[in-house]
Amino acid sequence: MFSYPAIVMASVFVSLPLVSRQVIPLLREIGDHQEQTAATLGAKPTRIFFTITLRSIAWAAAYGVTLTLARVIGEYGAVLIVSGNIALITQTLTLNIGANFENFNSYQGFVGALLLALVSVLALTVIGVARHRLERKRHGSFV
Amino acid sequence: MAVSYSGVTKSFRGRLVLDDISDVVNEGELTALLGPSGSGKSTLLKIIAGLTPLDSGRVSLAGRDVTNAPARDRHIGFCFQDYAPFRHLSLRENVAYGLKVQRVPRAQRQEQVNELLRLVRLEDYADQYPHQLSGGQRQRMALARALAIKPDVLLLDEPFAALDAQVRGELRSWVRSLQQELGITTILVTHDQVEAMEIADRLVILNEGRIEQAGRPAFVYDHPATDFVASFLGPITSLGGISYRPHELELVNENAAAEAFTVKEVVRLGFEVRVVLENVGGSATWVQLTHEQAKQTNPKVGQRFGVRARSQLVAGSDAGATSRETTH
Repeated sequence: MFSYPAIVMASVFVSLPLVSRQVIPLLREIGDHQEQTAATLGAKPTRIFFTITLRSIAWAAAYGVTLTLARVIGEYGAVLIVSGNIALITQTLTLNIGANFENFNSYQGFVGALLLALVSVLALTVIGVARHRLERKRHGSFV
Repeated sequence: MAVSYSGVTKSFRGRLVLDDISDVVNEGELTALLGPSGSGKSTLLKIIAGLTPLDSGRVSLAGRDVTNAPARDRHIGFCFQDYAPFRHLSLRENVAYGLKVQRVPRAQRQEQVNELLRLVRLEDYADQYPHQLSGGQRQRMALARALAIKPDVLLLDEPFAALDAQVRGELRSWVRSLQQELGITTILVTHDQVEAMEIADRLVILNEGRIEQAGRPAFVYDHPATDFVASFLGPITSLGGISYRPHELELVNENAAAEAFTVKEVVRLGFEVRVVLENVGGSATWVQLTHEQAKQTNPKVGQRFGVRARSQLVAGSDAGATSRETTH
């Protein structure tokens, strides 16, 4: 409790479903014929994982990780409970905004909110690119 | 012998898929595993490839016992029905994959890939990605990728099933000539008896996890060992309690045969004419006539004919089943 690992664990716990919801359906759809073919061509399991499986799901994973990031940055309740909310040590930006708001430091609060908004725009851009690539891969069109 | 397996048995969740299967495939031969869906033929192919573990039995390739060897050590070429292209790699990179695994030096690798692409007539598409290729092109890509490692045996799972009729016919004869040119031992899985008879040196007919019959296509067609094989390979009809191929029957004058039949239906299919007949007792039979034969006898509904058989189906064992036919 009240430590950096606790924040990570709490965040992973609430966010992991976002990654798996992106990756698992894609893995199902692709099936394992590519992996099996690679095996008949002489490839060992680790090589197959890095050259075939990971490459096939790369964009779905990126999409999921970005969603996770967005989710984690905005996480308040779970992080507040486990982090202890100690400034500069276990205080996330979102918690910092919350603290500033409660202490009537609106200037600091707005700076934090602006930073958060910039990060969100960045995340949205990454998601947009990832989604575009993903759709292209799934539907096989080459726009 | 290039491929042999004996006593191969496999169950999935308590359901017996393969029941004590044994066979020997000769060097350079093209064998078709033929059977309806659920007969276990694809499972058998995957067991030979090492992609599915077997419950009991042995598999050997080119004289080596590979029963416990993983797929990567078996040195076989395997093509899935969906061709399983590596979607994130270009055609050239797909074909090069096995060579990269074998650490073939770059210059040599490029040369070999170019040669393979020429062989499968895809040299103009080398830098395209799988989703930019047609079904037939993907199939040829999968073939080139499998051949790149110079496998001892080529295994093809329903290679033409996903293609439209015209491309299928073209690729079928192309694959056959390529196989003969390379002299590579090949096992092909199919549920299409016409395809199997057209392309294979030898048929192995599977049903419900057992081999019903194995032998040269023409022999098996004329001498089916079981009713299943007889009806699976081509149409059969019965006359006086005996099974016949309908094209072995002919219409004669009703007085020239022991029994008279009345024509119930005449179906013209362009290249053949089917005549459905019934005797006084109500038992039906049908005769397959060529266009010429139909012109001569000119059968019409309600007319009466006798039916005579030129030859009947006789079960037998194919003495030449394990040696390569020389007439090809």
